Amino acid sequence: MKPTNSTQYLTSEQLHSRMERAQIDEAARGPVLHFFISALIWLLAGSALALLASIKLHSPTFLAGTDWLTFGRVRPAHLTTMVYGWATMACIGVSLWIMSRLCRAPLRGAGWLHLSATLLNAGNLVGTYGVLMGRSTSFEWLEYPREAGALIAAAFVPLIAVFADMARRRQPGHIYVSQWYLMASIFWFPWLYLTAQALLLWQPVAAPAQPPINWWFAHNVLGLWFTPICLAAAYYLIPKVLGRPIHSYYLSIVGFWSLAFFYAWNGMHHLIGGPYPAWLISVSIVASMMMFIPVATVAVNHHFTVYGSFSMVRSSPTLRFVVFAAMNYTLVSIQGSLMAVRAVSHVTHFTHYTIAHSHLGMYAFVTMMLFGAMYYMVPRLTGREWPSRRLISLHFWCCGLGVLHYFAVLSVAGIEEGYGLLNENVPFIDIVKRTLPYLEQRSWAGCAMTVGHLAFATSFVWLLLRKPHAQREATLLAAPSQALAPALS
Amino acid sequence: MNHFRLIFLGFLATFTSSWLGLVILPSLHYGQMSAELPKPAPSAELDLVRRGEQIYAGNGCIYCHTQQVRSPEFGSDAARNWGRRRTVAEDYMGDRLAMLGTMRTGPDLSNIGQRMKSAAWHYQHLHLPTSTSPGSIMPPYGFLFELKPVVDGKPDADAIPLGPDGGRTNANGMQCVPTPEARALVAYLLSLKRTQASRPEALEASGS
Repeated sequence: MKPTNSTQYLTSEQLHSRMERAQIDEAARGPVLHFFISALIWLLAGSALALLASIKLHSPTFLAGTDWLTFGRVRPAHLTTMVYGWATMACIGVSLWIMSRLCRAPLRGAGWLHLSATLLNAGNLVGTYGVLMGRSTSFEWLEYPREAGALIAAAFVPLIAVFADMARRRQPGHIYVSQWYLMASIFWFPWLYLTAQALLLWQPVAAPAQPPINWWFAHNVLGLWFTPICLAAAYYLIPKVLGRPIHSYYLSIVGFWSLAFFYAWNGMHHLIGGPYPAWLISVSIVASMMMFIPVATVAVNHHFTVYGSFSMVRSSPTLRFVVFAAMNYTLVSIQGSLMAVRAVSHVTHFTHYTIAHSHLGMYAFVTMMLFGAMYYMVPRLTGREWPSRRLISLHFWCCGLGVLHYFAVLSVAGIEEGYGLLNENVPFIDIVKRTLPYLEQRSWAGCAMTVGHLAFATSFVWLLLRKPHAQREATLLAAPSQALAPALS
Repeated sequence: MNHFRLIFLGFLATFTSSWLGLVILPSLHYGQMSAELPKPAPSAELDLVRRGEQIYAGNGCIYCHTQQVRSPEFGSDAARNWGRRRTVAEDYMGDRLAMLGTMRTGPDLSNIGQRMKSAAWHYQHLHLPTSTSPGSIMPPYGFLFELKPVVDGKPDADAIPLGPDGGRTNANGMQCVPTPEARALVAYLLSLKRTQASRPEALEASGS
């Protein structure tokens, strides 16, 4: 939000575009907040389940007497609530708003969007209940029983309609790269999800065909659903906050198409050494290596856009989270490509190293990006600023340091575990015992991240309770340099 | 670029290629392979194993245990006695769910039915893993067992030894017996003998 004293210098054109933005935000408020508040509740539920699962791994007798709290049920309940409750619902909120801003078309069909959010909440609730009651499907990332899958799939029908409607009503002119990512992801995800539901749960294929479909889904849900939306957010927010265009338009196009083409062929490297023909696995290894192209283009593009403005990364809460997330996107992608190499997989496959990697992706990249987007969007949607810079700071440091600690300890645990497994002279139980201190550290990291989530939730509720338009300046973490101040938030 | 239809065709084309290659092709291939195999005759034993497969899935055993033996060049699977050859797709044809797994927090179970043949061992291990495997971090599955009075002075054959002396009844004369779920799960575990069938192509592929 711009400082009040600048209003008198606005040209009529600027005034018009400001009113247009206000209209768009007004139309988006209800549905987007519905998605965001639901997402936050799932984030807290998912954190509780995560802590339980983490503690149980090093203290197996902790709450072991209750069937629905056993490790093998709590762990998939954690994953699915985070994936379909938190990340998916937050991603939809972010997509809806960025899409309507970029199409310059106020959202229509708020009722349908509320229906979609309700269906997703119902799907997550039914699904989590099913998993905790011992009805998990045992397909990783798809553990929710069938009925929950049907509810989640149904939630996408109104969503696709709303997106198509926005695309149709878009103001003439250039289509920005964020719109490409968003339109693609809203089309890809339902197809991914329906395929997986149909072939694994509704009409199951022969058993040996299940793992390839499972990993095609599980890898692409990250690559073709969460990644495009989070990259769309980065491409939108970084130039917005800095008040300067993206470094290279052409690089962003190369990045998009190489991601679309190569990411879709990833996934089979999860089956390296498994009972499959070499071509099936090799094709994914090659595609993983090719992922260097989209990753490098995005990294270069973002880096040169931010270059020279690093002081703003300190002061803007949005930029701080977004830049942290974008850096981790580069890291996790390079790591992912390397992990698909047989020589690396040889050590890291079947170990905690994979779990560290997936948290670098789903948390340090996706979740942190979503936090950053919410810091930017919520004040605009509600007309209320974030109440406390201390809470934002606490949120950032607990989650940022928490996930880095998480990543570090589990990576080391995984490498040690991997070399142990390879060496037939190391008794299996010794490998288990050696990982225990790392697993305990993981629980501490999880505690820190949960504290961060609670700080964010407190901030969010506090913001909603404030009087609208009471504070005119954005809440910043440090004083920005004078020249850039007006553009910041 | 302002041609939205063209862009959309691109979304479609990139995605369809991987959908055909990684989803449809394997489904058709293994579907055909499975159709050519003889179907197992229905039996009470098979029903119990299928039920056990569901219990295994529903309790998330997959998060710590794999069911795939890899060739010697990929690790110490054979040396750890997890299987005498690598597993191939045919080894999973009898399953409803192919639970290959992605983590080895616990040992591989491809051939657990061959390695641990005793149902009594499995019951005791599930009830309290550290009683048979000191140092194990597997959760105890007490909820798969129930305390029942002894009928006619004869304890259940599958009752868990409760004390250090191996007695099967506690101070109140109750015994700890496996629930139907535990019986199904153990039937499933005992059925896991994936590399029992000889598959020359697998030995060849693994170079042993």
